[in-house]
Amino acid sequence: MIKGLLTSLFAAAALVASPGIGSAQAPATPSYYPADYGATIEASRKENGLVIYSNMANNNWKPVLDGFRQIYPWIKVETLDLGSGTVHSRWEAEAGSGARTADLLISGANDRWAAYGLDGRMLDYRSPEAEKVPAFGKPYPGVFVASSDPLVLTYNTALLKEGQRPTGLASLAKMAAADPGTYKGRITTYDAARNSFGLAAWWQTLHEKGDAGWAALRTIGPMIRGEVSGGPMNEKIAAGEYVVGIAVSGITIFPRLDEPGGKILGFAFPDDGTPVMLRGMGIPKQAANINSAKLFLDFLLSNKGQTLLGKGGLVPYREDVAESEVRYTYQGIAQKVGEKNMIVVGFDKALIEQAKPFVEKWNAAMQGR
Amino acid sequence: MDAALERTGFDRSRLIFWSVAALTTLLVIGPIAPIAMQAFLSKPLYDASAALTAGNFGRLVTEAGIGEIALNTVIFVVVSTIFAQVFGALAAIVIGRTNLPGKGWLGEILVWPLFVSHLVIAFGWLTMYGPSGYVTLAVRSWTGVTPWDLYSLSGMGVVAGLSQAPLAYLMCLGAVSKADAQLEAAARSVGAGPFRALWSVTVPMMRPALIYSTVLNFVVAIEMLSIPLLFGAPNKIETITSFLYDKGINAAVQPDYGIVGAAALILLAIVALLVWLQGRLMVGSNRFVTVRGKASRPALLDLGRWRWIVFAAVFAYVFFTIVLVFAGTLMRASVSFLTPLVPFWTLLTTKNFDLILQTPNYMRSIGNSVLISLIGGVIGTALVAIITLVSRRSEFKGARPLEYIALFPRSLPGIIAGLGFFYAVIWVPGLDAIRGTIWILILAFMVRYIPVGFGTIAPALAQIGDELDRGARISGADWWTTVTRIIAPLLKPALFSTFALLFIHFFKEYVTAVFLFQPGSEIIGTTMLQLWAQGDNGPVSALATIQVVITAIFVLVARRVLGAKIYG
Repeated sequence: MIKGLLTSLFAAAALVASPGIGSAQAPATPSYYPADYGATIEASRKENGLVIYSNMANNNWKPVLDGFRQIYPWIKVETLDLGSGTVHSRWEAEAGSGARTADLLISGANDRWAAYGLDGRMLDYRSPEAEKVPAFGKPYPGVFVASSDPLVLTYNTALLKEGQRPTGLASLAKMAAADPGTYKGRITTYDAARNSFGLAAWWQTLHEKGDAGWAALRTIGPMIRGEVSGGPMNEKIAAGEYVVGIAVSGITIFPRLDEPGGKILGFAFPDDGTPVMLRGMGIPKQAANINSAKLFLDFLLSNKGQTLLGKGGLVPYREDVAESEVRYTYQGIAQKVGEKNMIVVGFDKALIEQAKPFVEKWNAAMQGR
Repeated sequence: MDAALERTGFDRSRLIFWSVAALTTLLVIGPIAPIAMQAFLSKPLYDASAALTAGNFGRLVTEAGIGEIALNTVIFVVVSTIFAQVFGALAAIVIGRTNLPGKGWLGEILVWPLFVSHLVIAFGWLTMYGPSGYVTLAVRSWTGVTPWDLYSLSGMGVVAGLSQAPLAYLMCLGAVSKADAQLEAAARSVGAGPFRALWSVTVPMMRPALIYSTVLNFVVAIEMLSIPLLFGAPNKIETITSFLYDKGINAAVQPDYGIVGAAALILLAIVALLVWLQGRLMVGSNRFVTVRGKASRPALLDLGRWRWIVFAAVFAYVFFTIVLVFAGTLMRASVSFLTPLVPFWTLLTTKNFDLILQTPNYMRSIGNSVLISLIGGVIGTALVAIITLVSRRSEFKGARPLEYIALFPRSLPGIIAGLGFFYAVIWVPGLDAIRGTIWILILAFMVRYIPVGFGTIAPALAQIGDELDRGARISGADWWTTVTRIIAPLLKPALFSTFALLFIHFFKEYVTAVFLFQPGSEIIGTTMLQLWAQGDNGPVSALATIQVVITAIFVLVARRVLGAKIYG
């Protein structure tokens, strides 16, 4: 292992040290791209690579970055993977100081995207791919959707045998009320009070479900221990600390199912409403490498980019992505759970104003009130 | 001697004195000044419209939950210090003063937690003793109860304390092994049993070491970030460091730099006060000096029939709190899931290591950590050596003040140093050039560990008689020639030890870096924190394992090849 480690260390060092090897020829672009697109490509050659702040993990990124590098080998892409809120806090602090910061932001902090959409902090970029994506993929000028990721119900298959497994929020509330011994302290979800991703998801879910949803939440609230990220939820469900997770980000559990012992985890699209999180992205107005950022954004919205996002475990939403190439697509999930059963978590500006009273009501529900 | 030459020589030395003093002052003030500024500004430091205000302190003390955070911090720090001191001192006595079997290798393992970061240790504990830890769940399936809770203040304190016990152990070991055994023999001769002799004679002799290590461990506990972050967050227990981390960089909404600056300044003042208090308490400690010119072979205390019982206790301590914790990290790194519900061997995978080895970002963090430790270790050793020589072996008038300034970073918690440099680079024009490079990390780490290096070089320097310098000076050499040609070669062993110590500290440091790293300047610790935030405990453990392996190789090489003395 040490030898392998050293080899890889040298390989990594060489990778860092080697200058960008640019090809002289401009990559071919689709016919519907504007005529001056070549100028953007040329301008990107003089830029200083691309820095992306995202809430995605490295395994999500890998296929996308590999695909992008094939087309634009001279653009060195750096990603910094942070929590959804942190992506924005960090960028805002750095942008305020005039220091070098991210050229592209991607996150699930939908309240921030709504705010940026309204106050115009993002570059109003007209992507040539924009006409190819559904309307919900471009909610505000300069704000785009990168992927549409479902939140699922997860459980430990060893602790909950067939027939004991909840199928949705309502069924979980019923089962938990009937058997508190199994469920007390062993249900998990995003803590909407501590996490902007969870805030957006639960806000939309309860907005659509109304009183029935709040009642179900009050039943299980006192049995819930909140987390701020999907990874630890799966980790602890597999270990048996939790038996059930509700509204767990699908992209954190899908790849784990294929691992040795993955059968310990099970999941279901909730039968009484499957939240689908739209993941926002945008180019800050003062981005240092604006042309590279444009190329990358177009790539993410393209059929190729969406397919590669799907290969990395995210869920593409362009209609022309082949279902067979990826695990799920937006359209495939719609077919599976029924379009009217999808709770699409978008960028409603009401989220900004109503977040505070919502969090208070949420905290009360967590205590059964 | 040619008068002109002598004058230029004199000028050269003066130039060196003043440059070293100026550089040291700048380095130490560098992170503190922006924090002090920020504490009194209404808006972020970089915002031109920021106005002077004292309001941040008011907002801080009225911040919701601030009292609880202060109380949590105090409880955590006190519990942790007590555990560290009690276990460290006990270990020092049985290893250093008794005929315990196997004390050679037991003593060796006892020091290991000092070599790796608290982050690695915290993960090991989490894997084994956390609520879904392997040992916890196994015990729960046998007995039906969960006997401990790491996600509590006392749980956090115990883990923090046990990972700091080695520090108390080493300092007390130094004290007891130098102690005059005749004093114990005297006690025994008037009828005291072995334990009575230890209690009445040996323990009091450890007092200076105990005071010194208590304050040190107290300060370490105050600045500890990983344990409050990993164990406190799930139960919403916040301490001052996790508060600074959440408010300063990890904020779910806009960071509040005013409050962060105010809190950081108060924390800095408290720690500085503690370190000053330590100095006061140590005054007069030489009445405990029992190593005199007279030779006496230190006789060991015979434990008699207690020998194997004590061995069992020490072994259990070492096994459950050190061996198992390291093993937990390796175990978690080798499986897809760590769950007692599925047989262990069906979960084995190399995927976690593959992910690290095949991801350029992660490999770069390892490369950066090695580079920072090597470059920083060399530059740091040179810098500290010059500071020590100027402040202890020169006619420089500012020698004493220079020493005080150089030792001040002892009172500078890592998270504050990081925050201060973060402010400094976005505030001072031109410094932006090193932002996002490993040089800002090297600089910040160096400032943090000047006192560690000083503490290693100064005692060695004291052993070199000053007649050597005087001899050289009389023969016409100036100060610089004297120290480089005569003293530095004699200091070589101490310089190697300093380099080794700095390397280890830099390699495990991460708290100082959490505010400073950028894509391109990640280090192992910051990558581990990122992976942990995503819940990827497998790759986190793989990275931790790699860190432990590299450290182990370095320690072996440094001891064998450089002959460096690392910790005692």
